[in-house]
Amino acid sequence: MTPPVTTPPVAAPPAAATPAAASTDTTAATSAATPPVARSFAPPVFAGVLTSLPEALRAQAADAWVDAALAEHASVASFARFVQELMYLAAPPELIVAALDAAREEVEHAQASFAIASALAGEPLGPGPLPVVEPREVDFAELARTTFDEACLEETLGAMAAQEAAERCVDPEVRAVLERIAVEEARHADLAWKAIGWALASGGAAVRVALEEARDTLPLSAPARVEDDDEATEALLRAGVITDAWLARRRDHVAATVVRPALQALLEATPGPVAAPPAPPAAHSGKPEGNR
Amino acid sequence: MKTADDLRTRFLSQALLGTALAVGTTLAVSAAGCSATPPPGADATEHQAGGASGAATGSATDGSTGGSVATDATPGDSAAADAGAAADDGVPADDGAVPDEVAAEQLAPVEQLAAGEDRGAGMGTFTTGTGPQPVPPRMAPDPAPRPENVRIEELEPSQLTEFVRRMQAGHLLVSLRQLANRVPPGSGLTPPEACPAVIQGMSPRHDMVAAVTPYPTLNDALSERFGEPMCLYWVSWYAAPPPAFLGRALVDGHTFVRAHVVRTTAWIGRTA
Repeated sequence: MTPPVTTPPVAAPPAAATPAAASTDTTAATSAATPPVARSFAPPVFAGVLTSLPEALRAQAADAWVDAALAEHASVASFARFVQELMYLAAPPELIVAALDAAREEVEHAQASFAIASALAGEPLGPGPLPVVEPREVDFAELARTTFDEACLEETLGAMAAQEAAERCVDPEVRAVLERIAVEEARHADLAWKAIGWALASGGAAVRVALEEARDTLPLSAPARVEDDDEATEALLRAGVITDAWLARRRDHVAATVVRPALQALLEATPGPVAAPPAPPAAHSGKPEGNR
Repeated sequence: MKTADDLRTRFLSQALLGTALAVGTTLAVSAAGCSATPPPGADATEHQAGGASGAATGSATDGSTGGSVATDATPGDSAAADAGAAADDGVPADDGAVPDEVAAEQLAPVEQLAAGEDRGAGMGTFTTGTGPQPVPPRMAPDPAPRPENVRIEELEPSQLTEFVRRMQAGHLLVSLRQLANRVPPGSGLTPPEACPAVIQGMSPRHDMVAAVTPYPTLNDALSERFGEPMCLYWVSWYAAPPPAFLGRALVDGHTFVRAHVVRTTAWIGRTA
């Protein structure tokens, strides 16, 4: 789920020096009028990860992991809003439960990502306050369109990115985190597809029109071969980091070969008129697959 | 990550599952085996996994998303299941889905339960929305299975007598009230009124509902196999079931568990 907004990271205070006392003195902790402080968001500790990275690359990787952690953190709120929208439309519990599960998984992704970022940065990092995400009184068409735009493509890309990073990452602990994220983001993509299927069957022609419009924003074809990654991208991949450039090189390919055909097949498999696919967008620069 | 073909298939399957949620039909998937009823307009042969021959295509990456709709089932698969194709656990393979009308009737007690619930309880700062509404079956509360319910999974054929005894004593919280309305015309199954002992022992509580499979051909096959009249029961849990049930299928948002093949002569009567 594409995050609606992210918050800057906040350095967390060091861990309590006396864990035993800290765990028992709850009265003091709760009654003191202390301002909210950023806490470490990361139960996992990855103190020794990626120690082989050069210093400059390590800092770059830390920044990237912070960005990823903030995105995961904001996704929790995004899924929470998604739950509200589903309930507003009287969605079946299967979808609500799946969305709640996804929100919980995003919390854990954020925790793990902040833990890696903290290890790389050499200081504990956690999220700052997140602005309230405004609820939306969506209809089926809006839900379908936003879900498609925010999740059907992006979650798929996110899952692919995590999987790619996992395969290239040199650190086993980071790799394990990425592998888990890949699995769960793919599951979130499943949820998105299931939700638009439900919306399509529930909301009638307006949803079909919205999804046809969404389909038509995607390229019909994509470059037959994704460009090789440059050296900097390769180095960051070894740190488990996916760059925007990496994603950009694959977005059209995934959209054209996975997302658009799947949506077209859904529209064809469900009752209702199916608009003829439009001509390829003139601005699209990708080489048609047929020219391979 | 799987190939584009894999992903397309996976996502389309998920979306079709979503359509099934909306139209109230049953598109069932499980990691172990599929049982499905297609949504209106869909080709049944594309979605109905035929018992043991219905392939669960599985999640592309995690294996935990419950598989996806089998697409390789042929029209003959369901019939093959009806003929009693045996699963590994010795219980004949699932013959497919529960029809809509049956599923709806199975869930009727949930609605009755929900009508008496205080649905506004919980987080006090929230309103309860648009007020009391007719509760669709799938939105009914899902009480966790009670310990005594769990015992059903442990039943072996030799324990059926004890199962019936416990049910008659009200310990198993099984309701057969709905069976009278659930036996489909022409199925050759006897309505439960023909078995007063069972009805007498029926629990007024509706934690579980037993439903008879509406597939006489399967029952016939079972009867032939066991040498006496048999029919297949379904038991639904309104929450996630304990693992390791003999067979299960997600039907209309609920988990239906095949409790066991039971002897109709000791249960609700006889086959025609």
